[in-house]
Amino acid sequence: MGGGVKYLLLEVQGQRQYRGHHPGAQFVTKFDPALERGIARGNVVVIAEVEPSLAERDFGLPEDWPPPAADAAHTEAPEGASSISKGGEKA
Amino acid sequence: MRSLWFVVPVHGRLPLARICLRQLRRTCDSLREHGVEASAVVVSDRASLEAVDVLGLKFAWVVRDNDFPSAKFNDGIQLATDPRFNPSPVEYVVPCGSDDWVDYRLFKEPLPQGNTIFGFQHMSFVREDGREICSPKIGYSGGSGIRIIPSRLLEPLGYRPADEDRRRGCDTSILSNIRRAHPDLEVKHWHLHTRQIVDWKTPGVQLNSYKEVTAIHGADSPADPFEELADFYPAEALQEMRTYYDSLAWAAA
Repeated sequence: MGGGVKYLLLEVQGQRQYRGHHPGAQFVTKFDPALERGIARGNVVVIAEVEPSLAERDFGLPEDWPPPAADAAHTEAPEGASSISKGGEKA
Repeated sequence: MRSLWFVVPVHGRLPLARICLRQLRRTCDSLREHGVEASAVVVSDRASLEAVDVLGLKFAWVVRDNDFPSAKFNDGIQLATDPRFNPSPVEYVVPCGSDDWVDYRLFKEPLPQGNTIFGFQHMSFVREDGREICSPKIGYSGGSGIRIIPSRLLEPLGYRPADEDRRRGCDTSILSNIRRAHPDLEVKHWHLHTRQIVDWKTPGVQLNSYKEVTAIHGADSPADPFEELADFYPAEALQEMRTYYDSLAWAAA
C-alpha cells in the first residue's frame, strides 16, 4: 500500500461492537493510535497484516478498452491546460 | 484525448440504477464526442451486475459485496487508475452514485491540473415520489460527493483513497485521505447550472432522504422535475424515469 500505511485484518472480540463492527466480524482497516489502544484492550485481535487490493476480486474492463493507442498516448495533461474560461463555465 | 472513468458502486434499487446507468452511458458517449475518452466501472455483487446489464452498457465491472461501500469505491478507482490492473489507466476518476445523473459538460476540458480537484456545490434532489425537485447549495468545502480527481493524486494512496471499512461518508474519507497525502490540495468548484447533478430519491433504502437533505441544506424553489430537467437531459432518459416513478405510485396505491 502506498504512503507507508499499514493495513490489518482484524476480528472483533467480546460482546460489544467495535467502530460499528459487530462482535465476531472481521474487517480491514488502517493502523492508527486508536486502533492500537483497541488491540491493547483486547477489543480486537489482529488476524494478519494485509494489502487491500483488487487482486482478490473478479473484475473486467470495458470491451472497447483500452482505446486506440493514438488516443491513449497521454499520461499527463499538457502545460497550461488548467485555464478556466470566463465566468467559471466550461466552454 | 483525456480519459476519465466514473466509479459507481451499486447496491439495491436496481430498476433506478439501470435507468441511471443507461443515462451514464449517454453521458460517456457525449464526452467522447467532446474529446474525453469516458467510461465507467460498476462495482456490485454478481447478480446486481447482471441485473443492470453492465456488459451491455460496455462498462468495466468489479464483483464485491456491500459490506463496506468504501471498499467498493476503492476497487473501482483502482481498476480505473492502477497500471497493474488497467493497461491504459485513466487520468481522472469521478466517484458517482447509482442514483445520480450528471451533465456531461461538467467533465469536458478544462480538467483539473496539479494538486487540484474539481468539486460541485450545486446539485438537485428529486423527492421520493418524483414530483418535486429542489437545488440547494451544498455548503461543504468539498461540495457534493461527486468530484473530478486526477489519478496522479491517488498514487501515494495505492490507488485506494477511501478508508476500507466505511459504510457512510465514503466521499469525505476519499477527500480527507487525498488531502493528507497532498497538504496543498485545492478544491475548485464548478457551477454550470443548478441541475448539473441530479440525485433521484426513491422510497426505501438510501442514506439520506429528500426531507433530510432539504432540512440540512435548505430548499430553493421546488419545481416539477420533468419540466425542469427537459432542457438538460435526453427526453428518452426522462421518459424512462417518469415511467419508473409512475410504477412506484401504482404499486403503492
